[in-house]
Order: sequence, then structure tokens, then C-alpha cells
Amino acid sequence: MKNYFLIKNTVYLVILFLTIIFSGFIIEKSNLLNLNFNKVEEVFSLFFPLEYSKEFLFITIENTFITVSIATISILISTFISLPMSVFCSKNLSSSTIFKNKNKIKDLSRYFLKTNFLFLRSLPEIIVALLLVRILGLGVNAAILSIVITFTGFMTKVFIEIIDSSNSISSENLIRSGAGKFKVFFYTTLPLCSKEIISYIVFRWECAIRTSLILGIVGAGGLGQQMELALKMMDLNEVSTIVFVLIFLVYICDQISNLIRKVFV
Amino acid sequence: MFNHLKLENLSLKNDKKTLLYNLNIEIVEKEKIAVIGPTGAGKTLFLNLLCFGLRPSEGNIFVNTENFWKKNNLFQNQIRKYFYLIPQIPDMPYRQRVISALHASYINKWSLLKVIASLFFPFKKKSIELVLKELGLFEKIDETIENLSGGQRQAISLARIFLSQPEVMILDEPLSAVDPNRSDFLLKKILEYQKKTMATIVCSLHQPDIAKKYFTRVIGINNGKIVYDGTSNKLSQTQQEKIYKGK
Repeated sequence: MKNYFLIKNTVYLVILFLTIIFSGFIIEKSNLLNLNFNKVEEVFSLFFPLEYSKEFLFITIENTFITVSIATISILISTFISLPMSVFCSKNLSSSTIFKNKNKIKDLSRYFLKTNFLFLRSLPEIIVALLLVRILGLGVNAAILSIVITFTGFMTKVFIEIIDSSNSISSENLIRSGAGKFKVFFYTTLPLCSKEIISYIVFRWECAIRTSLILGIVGAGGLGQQMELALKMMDLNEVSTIVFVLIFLVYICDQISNLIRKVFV
Repeated sequence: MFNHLKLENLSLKNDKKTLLYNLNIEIVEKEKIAVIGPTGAGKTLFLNLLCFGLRPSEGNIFVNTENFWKKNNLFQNQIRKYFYLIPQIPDMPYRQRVISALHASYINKWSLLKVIASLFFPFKKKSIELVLKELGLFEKIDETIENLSGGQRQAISLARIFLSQPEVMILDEPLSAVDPNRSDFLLKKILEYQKKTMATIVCSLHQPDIAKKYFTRVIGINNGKIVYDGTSNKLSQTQQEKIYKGK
């Protein structure tokens, strides 16, 4: 018995040893460790000093405002679309679900509406933007529209979940006494779930700022586009300034959203 | 206008068993009805059936000779506005302020635009203040619901029914969270409002003495069946035992 374990362990050890040798062989073959550090220092030095001429800074600030306003406008529009739609789709506020009216047309229409939002959020923003840039041309409109299209899908989905997971008793009682679903939404669901809804909108706003930066690279205006142009022109000093502005912008947005959450949530 | 409600061979089932058996009852306007019975007898389900909150498994409900559950949504919504149920556990959102919780009692009669406007401009502040003063809760008008005690929540819930002035007031144990003194006061207030608005009142209770003293008709429910339906002064001790012990 003792011999058996000895043999087993030796076999394992040999296999391990062979694996190490084999992987070392592969690494050597593929030149993986053969990094060239000679040029890194040279390229890195191109990024400094930062570009801080007055004209450049003016353009950067303008582009920052464009980026932030793309995010804000698109979040506003998608909130205004997705909130009413989630009221339509939610089961908690539907009288046919509460009173068990077997109304197949209503169920079917709710299903189709929900599926529509699934289609909206199925494509990533950047691909929608690529398509829209071809249709609408370069500029802010394509960015706003692509964020609205995808974010409406996400926000509707989450709002439906929030409304359906809230306490249904209070809304049921008002619907039972003959109030419509939108009236009930304003008087019970909104006070019940306002914190979750506001918190999610603010989170999506942060996401929209990052997304609008990425969409800039596709050609949809703002800081992203400026960075893309600078990279193409090999103005690396400008690129490094823009990167610092980006980091600062994300920090500021985080602070603003924290403030909003503190006040409302 | 509501003047007549008739339940015909009504029963309610869930997946496993029958909860209410074969109810046959007529309710006429301006009646004062108390519903009594042991815990778990089906009082709350019965009240929910009366205000069309639950769809019966069998049988019909006639409102003014119209079969309610066979009518379209528009008609049903019109009828629903005559009824108002106050649930046993107050159902207002915790983060809502008292004044907007009370505004909610009007929304079934208002248009959507007026409802949205009322979030910013409380139209009915004066009448709400009046009702709160009567209930001794005037200083709580700007509090949120979560800062109120259980009894205060129940009183606010009652204030809702006073403000909405329905034609049929349905109350599910409105006195379960208040002390005896206060419960007497609240019951008198309820009956006062009933007298003023000439509404029908259906109220479930746990005290047969109060039912006998203040109400004209008593319905006794045990184990999903109606065991007593008659005037309150004919409710004898043996019948009470029959209602509560099922003998």
C-alpha cells in the first residue's frame, strides 16, 4: 500500500515537471518574454509636458461641456420615455392582473411592449452609434440618439423590476377603489420606490458620461472625438491633458451623483 | 348611485381548498352591518369580495341589478368609485407625508392632470386639516407615515375614508390597534360620518358587544360559512357561541 502512494505521487510530480518544461518551451517559441523596453521611455517622454495653451484649454472645456450635456440630455429623454412605459408594463399596477381578468389581449400587448425594449438594449451603444453616424452624419445627434435607444431599454427593464418588487398592497387598494394606474403610480409607487428610481437614474447618468466619451471616438462629438483626433495627429501632449481632464471629469460626476443621492435618497 | 348589492351563491376557492362557501346576502343602502367571527374565519375575504377586490370562483354579484363581473372595465371602474375599503393593516407608503397620503383618497375622482398638480399644490389642505383636527392629529400633518405609531396610522387610514366620502364604507377591523377609550371615540366618529353622508357601512369587528350596541345588522362568519345573519338585538348568547366556537 505504501508503495502505491509513492508511485502515484512520483507520477504526479513527473507530469508537473513535464508541464513546466513544455510551457517554458512554448513561451520561448512565441517570443513572449522578449519585450523591448528600449522604445518605451522614448514614447513616454512624448506625452510630456502637458499642453496648456489658452486656445487648446478653451476647446477642451467646450468639449467637456458637450460631453456632459450629451449624457444629461440623453438621460433626461430616456427617463421620460422609460418611466411611463414601465408603468404600462408593470404587473403590480395592472388591474387585469390584480382582479384576475383573463384578458389575453392585454397580456399579449404587455409582452410585445416588453420584447420591444429587449430589442432596444440588445445592441451595444457603440454599434448603434456607428450605424447612426452613417445615417445622421458626424455630430452630437448620433451620440444622443444612440444613448437614448440603448438606455431606454435598460432603464425600462429596471424600472419594471423596481415597481413589481415594491409592496403591492397600497397600490392595489387604490386601484380597487377605481383609480387609474398612472394616478396610483404618482401617489403610491413613486413614494415607495423614489429612492431606488433616483439612485438608478443617477447611476445611469454616470454610465452615460463614460459612454459619450467612447462614442466620441466613433465621431459623435465631445471630448472623445477631440482625443481621437489628437491621437491621429500624434499630438501626444494634448492627449495627456485630455486624459487628465477625463479623470477629473469622472471624479466630479461621482461627487455630483453622491450629492444628489444624499439630498434625495 | 348605489342602492342595492346582492351576492348570489358566491364561493371563493384557492388551489387547495374552498375559503368561502355559498354566500347569499343582500345589502341595501344606508344599512349598518357588523361582521363578526373568529380569527381566520374569512371576514377579510368576505369584505374584499364586497368591494370587488377579489374575483369570486363561483356565483354572481349584482349591483343595482347589474351583474358586476360580467360588465366591461369602464362600468366596473364607475361602480368601484362608490366603494372604499380600509384594510386592517394601514397600507400607506412609509416615506409618504400624511398630507399626501390623505390626498390619495381623492384621486379616483380627479383627472390625471389634477392628480399631478395636486402633488405640488395641495388643493384639499383645508378639509384635510379639518378632519385631522377632529381626530386630534392636526400636528402630524407634515410628518411621514413611518414616524407615526400603529394607532395613529390606523386613524390616518380612517381619515382617508372620511375624506373620500364613498357610498359604501367597508372597514376591516378599524379598531384593532387602538386602546378601548380611543376605539370608542373612533367608532363614534365613524358613525357620525355615516349619518352625515348617509353611507352604507360594513365593518368587521372582534367585539360582539360593540356590534350589538352600535350596528343594526350582524353577519356572523365561521369557517367560511355564514352562520348568523340578522338584526343585532336578536343576537343571543348561544348564537354568539355558535359563531365563535362553531357549535
